[in-house]
Amino acid sequence: MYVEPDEARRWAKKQKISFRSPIHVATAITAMQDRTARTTVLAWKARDGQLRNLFTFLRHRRRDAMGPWESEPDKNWRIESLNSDHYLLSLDASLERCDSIIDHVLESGVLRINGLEVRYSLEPVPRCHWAYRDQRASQGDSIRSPFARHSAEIREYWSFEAQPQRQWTEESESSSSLGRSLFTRLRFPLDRRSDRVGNLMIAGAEDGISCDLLKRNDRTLTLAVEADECISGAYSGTVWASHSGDEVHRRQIAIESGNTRITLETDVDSVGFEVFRVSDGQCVDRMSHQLVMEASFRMNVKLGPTLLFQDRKRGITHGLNPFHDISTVTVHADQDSPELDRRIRQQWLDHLSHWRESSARKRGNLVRFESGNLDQVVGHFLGILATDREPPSPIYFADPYCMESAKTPAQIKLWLDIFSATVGAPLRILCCTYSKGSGLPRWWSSLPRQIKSHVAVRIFSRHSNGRPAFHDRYLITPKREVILTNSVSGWGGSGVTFTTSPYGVYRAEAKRLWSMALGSRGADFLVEGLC
Amino acid sequence: MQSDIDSDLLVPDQARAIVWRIFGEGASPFKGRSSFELVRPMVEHHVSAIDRPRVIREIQGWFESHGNRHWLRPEMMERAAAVIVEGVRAAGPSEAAVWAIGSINAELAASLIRSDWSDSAIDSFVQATRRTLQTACDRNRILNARRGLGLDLDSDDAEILADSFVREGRIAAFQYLLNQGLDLVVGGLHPAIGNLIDLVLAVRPDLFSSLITKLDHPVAQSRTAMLAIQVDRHSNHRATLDWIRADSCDAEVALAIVYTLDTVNLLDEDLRRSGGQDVSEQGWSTELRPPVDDLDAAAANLLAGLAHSLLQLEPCVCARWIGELLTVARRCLHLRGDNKPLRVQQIETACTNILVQLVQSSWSEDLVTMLSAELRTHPTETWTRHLADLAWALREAAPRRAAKIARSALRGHETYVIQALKHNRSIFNWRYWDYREWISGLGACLAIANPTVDLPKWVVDRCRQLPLSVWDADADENRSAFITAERVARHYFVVSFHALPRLEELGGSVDPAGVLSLAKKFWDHCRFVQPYVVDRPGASVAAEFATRCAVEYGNASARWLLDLARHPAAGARVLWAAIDQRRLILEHGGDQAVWSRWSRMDFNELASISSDRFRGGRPLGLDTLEYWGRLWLLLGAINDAEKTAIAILAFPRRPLARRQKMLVLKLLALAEGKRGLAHSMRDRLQSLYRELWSVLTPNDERADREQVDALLKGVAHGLLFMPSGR
Repeated sequence: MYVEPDEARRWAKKQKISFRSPIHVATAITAMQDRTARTTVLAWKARDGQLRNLFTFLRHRRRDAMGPWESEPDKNWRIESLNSDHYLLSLDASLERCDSIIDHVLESGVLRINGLEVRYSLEPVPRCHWAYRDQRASQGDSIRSPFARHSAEIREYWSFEAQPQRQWTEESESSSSLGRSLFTRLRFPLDRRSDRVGNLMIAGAEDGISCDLLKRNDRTLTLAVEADECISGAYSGTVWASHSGDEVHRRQIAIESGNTRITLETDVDSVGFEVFRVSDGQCVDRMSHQLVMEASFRMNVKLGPTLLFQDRKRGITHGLNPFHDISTVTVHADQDSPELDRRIRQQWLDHLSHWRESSARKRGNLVRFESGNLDQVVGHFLGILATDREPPSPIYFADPYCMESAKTPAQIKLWLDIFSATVGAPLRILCCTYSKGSGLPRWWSSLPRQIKSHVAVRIFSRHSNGRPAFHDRYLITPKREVILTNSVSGWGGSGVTFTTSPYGVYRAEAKRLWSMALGSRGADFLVEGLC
Repeated sequence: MQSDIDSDLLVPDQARAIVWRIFGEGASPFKGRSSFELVRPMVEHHVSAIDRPRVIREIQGWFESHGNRHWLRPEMMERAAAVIVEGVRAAGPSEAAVWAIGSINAELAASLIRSDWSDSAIDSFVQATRRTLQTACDRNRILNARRGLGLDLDSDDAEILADSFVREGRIAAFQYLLNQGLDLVVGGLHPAIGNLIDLVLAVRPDLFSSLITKLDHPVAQSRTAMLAIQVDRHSNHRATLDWIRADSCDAEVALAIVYTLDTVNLLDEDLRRSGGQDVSEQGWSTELRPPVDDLDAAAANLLAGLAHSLLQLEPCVCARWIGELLTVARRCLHLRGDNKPLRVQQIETACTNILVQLVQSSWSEDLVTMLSAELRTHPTETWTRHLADLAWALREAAPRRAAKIARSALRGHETYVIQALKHNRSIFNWRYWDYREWISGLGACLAIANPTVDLPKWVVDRCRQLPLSVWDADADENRSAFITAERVARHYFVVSFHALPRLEELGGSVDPAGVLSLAKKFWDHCRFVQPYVVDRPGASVAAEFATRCAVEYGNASARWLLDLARHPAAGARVLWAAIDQRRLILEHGGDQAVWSRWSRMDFNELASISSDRFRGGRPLGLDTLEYWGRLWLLLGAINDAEKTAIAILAFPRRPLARRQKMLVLKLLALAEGKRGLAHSMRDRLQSLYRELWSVLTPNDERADREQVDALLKGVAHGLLFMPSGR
């Protein structure tokens, strides 16, 4: 049976027997007394008045890395009330002490600090994973290391309690109002990683060695490795570099203290490395950089005072600085590169630009119809509905003025086609203007129930002035969200463009609007159901 | 003249009497209609029905039109002016009469008034004009923003508030108006207001001071001063000093300062011109004529006179003005070059001398408070510098007061640092002379405030307060706070290093062990922060100071320096500074015994460590290569010298500066003179030599050329150590 080393350590501690960890966690465990830690707890006061853990983060590293200005840890909890509902608690202490606090939390589900009790609901078995320093976009989903110079081994205790998760998501607006500095201090982007709400995370800096990959204007890379102890044979690594999307260098190297110089054959615009622990093959550090190939600087020099103006008629005062100088300087990193490299890069950039546009068209992410092509527009629109419908998932169609258009035979035919194309899947139409009290048009009322029973229409207007509550036009199917540049009534006359959006923002918007209670006078909107 | 005009005008007497009213109302900034628009309603109101069409046609005919715009025909200006002046004389002084005269060009109006009006009539008109202008200033109705700035504003009524100009201080406001805001002063005033100011000064120049006092608007005051100085400066270059009296208003003192500094700039300009080939008799700025008159001395005396004039004011008021003057002098005086300009030095010395007098004769806490209040904080200003200068100047004559002022300067410095940290502002820029002087002054303050100061403790106490822990370094979303804090830490170190010579000068003893401890803390700091910052603290100015101080005041042993050479944070600049400081000690007749403690073995070891580090494989920037080059020259390291020269020549992107070319030449000359260069490099050496000195050798490069020539002959010129091999 496999037992997590950490579990084994805690068990041994409880039994008061010594525990020797396996080799590959030796650094983290056996050197515990030489490590210092910062524990940060973001707590939230639930409706029942109890403080609950939103996120707890324990980071630990070698004590000798603290720098010359760091005093001894004060070993006392600092408690900061962020607002009436949120607290930030932090402790700087030895890893040993922080670990024993965590052990207690895991056993009791409670963290007690100076009369405050923070409740936890954690799975007993942690999941272990790694957080690297890699900043490539393709790594966007994995957690980045909280240490600037080191990757980190992560031990994470998960919480699947719904309430804090839901609360955090619902209050995402207010959580951002807590300020970016909160997440900087927490050292975890909880605003972007709401799946981690309620968790307890322990991050150990993999700080046996520090690596940096440097690139200057000559065709060389320098892998700089710092280690206080002899690391010969303990690590191996890979260094790579690419130019214009082509990998021009990838080589395995032995990791030694000092600088290893690597000569390149061509220019490069992206470099990276990985370092592996030889004993178990674990990747302990990974980093990649996109090199800055072009930079523009905009300068604005104020030469005089800001003049304050007052308009006598309106009594408005505003400031203006009319004496300034603006210039933009652009620096190209590859201006001295060989002609071949520069031309390849230019061709590649042109290709990327063209490729983005053409692939959007190929995938149907951007479909444009000129005026006078109503039949084609309708065909495309119905095609999306037919392809994407997945009963019982709803389809949302938002067009502020769509109900105004259901008057001519051609428009009535379009609506009938839409109804029939979506039969079985709830079709939710969101619009804004419709003559009050006039009800549905006669042709709509006379339709057989089978063809219209899945259709619901709601009118959204501003409570204050009765004007439309939204302006955008979009179609949300279970498979995609499509933004339309024109109302149904204008498709034939002035054309329309369908753009597929990858963000899911309109889907969330449609759901939010639809979830408003009928007759709601809350907030700004008035919601009325037409059918 | 009048009869000619009368005969040309077809306006009946009844109508002539209202002409001034039309132009008066049209010129008033309080009315919304132009003179042309007022012709018809005024005539209809005052002239008999039978004459109205003819009179309206006649008077409207005086105007030129384009679309909706109308203006008086140039040929009618004189005639209309005569009718207006005549009408105003008959009606007597009133606000409307003042605006009517304001509608006439000031020179023309002055000539008509002088010839037609009695002295008492002129006096009463001038009184009325001052009242009217004062009202306009008080109601902030003297500027036409659209006219002055050419701004496309929605409304003609938009006014620039007077407050805009004075928030930076009066001197700064007038300085801005003199240099950048001249359009406002000349064209931004409502035309009638400009004319009236000019007119009053033309007929009663003695009212300058009164006019400045009454017109409480910087643009109007600038206009007044500009006009006055245009006349006075040509006869008396020190005229502006007379504007400063015990009872002068603030604006008058500020204008005196601004225009005196402007005169100094003009004298310097005249001085520069006087050295040229074609010096005409025309166009001199003042009554002084070179070479008969000594313009340089005149400018220096004027600056001293300015500072001395301020002594007429109340002591605290004087201190306040000196504070403001010191703050803006750097900007007001035309500057050239990277070093402290002579005139700035002169005015600062003069001001410091006055402050010394004030402190000794009229000491009060308020004096320092008033002075400090005007030494404004600004990103590029180092305002405690002047307090430090004052404290240093007083160190012997009034040591207790000097200590108080020094402590005040240090408190101000702490506030400045707090602001820099709060706003992530850079405070470390050694390139600027005022920054360098500020640091030097702060070092002096440390020494004066506490002659037994424990410098390592002073630095450590402050650095511990900074966000400089490894946790701060990790916070990449807030990295700028760490970077600023790191620079502040270096700043503290540099200040403390600057306290060392001052402590010695004050007769205190400097503990060498303390200096070495300070230097060690600096290296530890560099080693810690290096991976987290873009700057290279270990190759910074502070690093050079740390090294030089360790050698100079810490009596660093060879072993200590060899350890430093091995320190991961120490780079080429540090190694060079260590050796160079030794060289300087020797050159200045320092302790030969200290030098002799350095054995040949020490040099060899240092050269070996340096060479290893040079070849260590880390990418080298051009500035780093320069320091390596300088080090090889001192050590006479031939192979590394040649390698460095080649690396500098191969450095991409930037054309080499002359200084860098000379360094390359010396490095190649060292190798050529000792063991010869390959053919291609020798060609390169010769071509560089020709490029630099084929035509002439500038005076400041003669020593460099001599060194190159000597090195080419294999002579150890300028080297500390000349090995035979390597």
